Amino acid sequence: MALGSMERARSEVDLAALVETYSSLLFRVAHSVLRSRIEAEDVVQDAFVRVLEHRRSLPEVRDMRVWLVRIAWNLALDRRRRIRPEQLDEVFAGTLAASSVPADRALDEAQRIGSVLREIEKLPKRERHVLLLSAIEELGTAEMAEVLGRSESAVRALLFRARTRLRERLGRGETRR
Amino acid sequence: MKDSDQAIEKVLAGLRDAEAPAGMERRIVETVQNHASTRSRWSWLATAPHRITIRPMAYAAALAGIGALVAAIPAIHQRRHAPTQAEKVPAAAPLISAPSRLVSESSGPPSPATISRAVQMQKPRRLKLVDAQESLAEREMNAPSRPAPPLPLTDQEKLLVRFVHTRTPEQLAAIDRAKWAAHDKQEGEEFDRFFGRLTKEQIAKALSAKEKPTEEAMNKS
Repeated sequence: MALGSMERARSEVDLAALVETYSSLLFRVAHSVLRSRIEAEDVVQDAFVRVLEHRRSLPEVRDMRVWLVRIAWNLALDRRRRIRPEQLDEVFAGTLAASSVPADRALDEAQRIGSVLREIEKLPKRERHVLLLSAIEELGTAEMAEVLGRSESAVRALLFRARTRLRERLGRGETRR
Repeated sequence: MKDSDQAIEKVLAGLRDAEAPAGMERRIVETVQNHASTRSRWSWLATAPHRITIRPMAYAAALAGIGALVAAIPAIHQRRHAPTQAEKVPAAAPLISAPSRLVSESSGPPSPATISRAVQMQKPRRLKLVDAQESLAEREMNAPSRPAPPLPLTDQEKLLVRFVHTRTPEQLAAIDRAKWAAHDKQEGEEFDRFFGRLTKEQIAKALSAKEKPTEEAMNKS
């Protein structure tokens, strides 16, 4: 009984420390996929609940940071399949435009950001995933490779192709206008 | 092209600079703690398969016991209510006899299916007993409405009946013990008075009076 309560207390302390250390990073990972603060917070919560459920295997985890990012990443991808991301992208684009340009240019800027987000979604899955993960500053190429289950060189190549393709498509769109 | 690059960088910067809502950490810790407490309440269910693998025979025996108990409950219930059903079935029998006879007359030989259906239809409905008062009320309700038939006479009662029909009024009056004792006493007194009961002195006198004449006769001879 006493051992059980001690173990529970220890796990709670560990979980609180994990939340404090990694919740911001996990939030950004989830937000890069979902582009919604509420949905991203829910994903972080779910990720830590998963950690609680697998707390017996925590000592076996080699890199806690990558392990947590992978959980949050997969949860976010899963959630994005269930919600309507277009509406979330519009809200995110509007917020981002309003924070960066004056109000009279905010609408145009929001449309431009919206078109970038749409083109990102049209990228091949691997390239899109690499591009979104690259937006998170804390993650290096090695960690991205581990999260996505690819080699570092493949990640670098995918990132280059993603940027190039996106630039071309956006450029084509601008010339059409 | 330059605008495209700027737009891409702006979007990536927006994703990079996204800040967590205020109080997110606290909310997450609370949620996780709640989840942990809820989970600990049901943890015995989660560990059940592990326990079963440790001691499979014990759990198999326990399951078999539970199964046997479940199977025995209806049998016990049926046995307990068997007398009640036996009491109720004869009461329902006259009601079902007429229709079944009609069926048999109208459609030739009676089929077992028809009979079984008739019996099933007339099955008395069992009342659910709530407490002792209701039990008493049900017994009163099910009690026969006509008076019970007279019981047969006992041997003593038969003797009395025979005595009443054969003896005289005086003899009947003598059934009373006090009167009978008074009558006996009276008869004894009458007997004594008629025959004259002798005392010891009178007996001795009578005997001496008998012996004297015999002695005189012997002397004479």
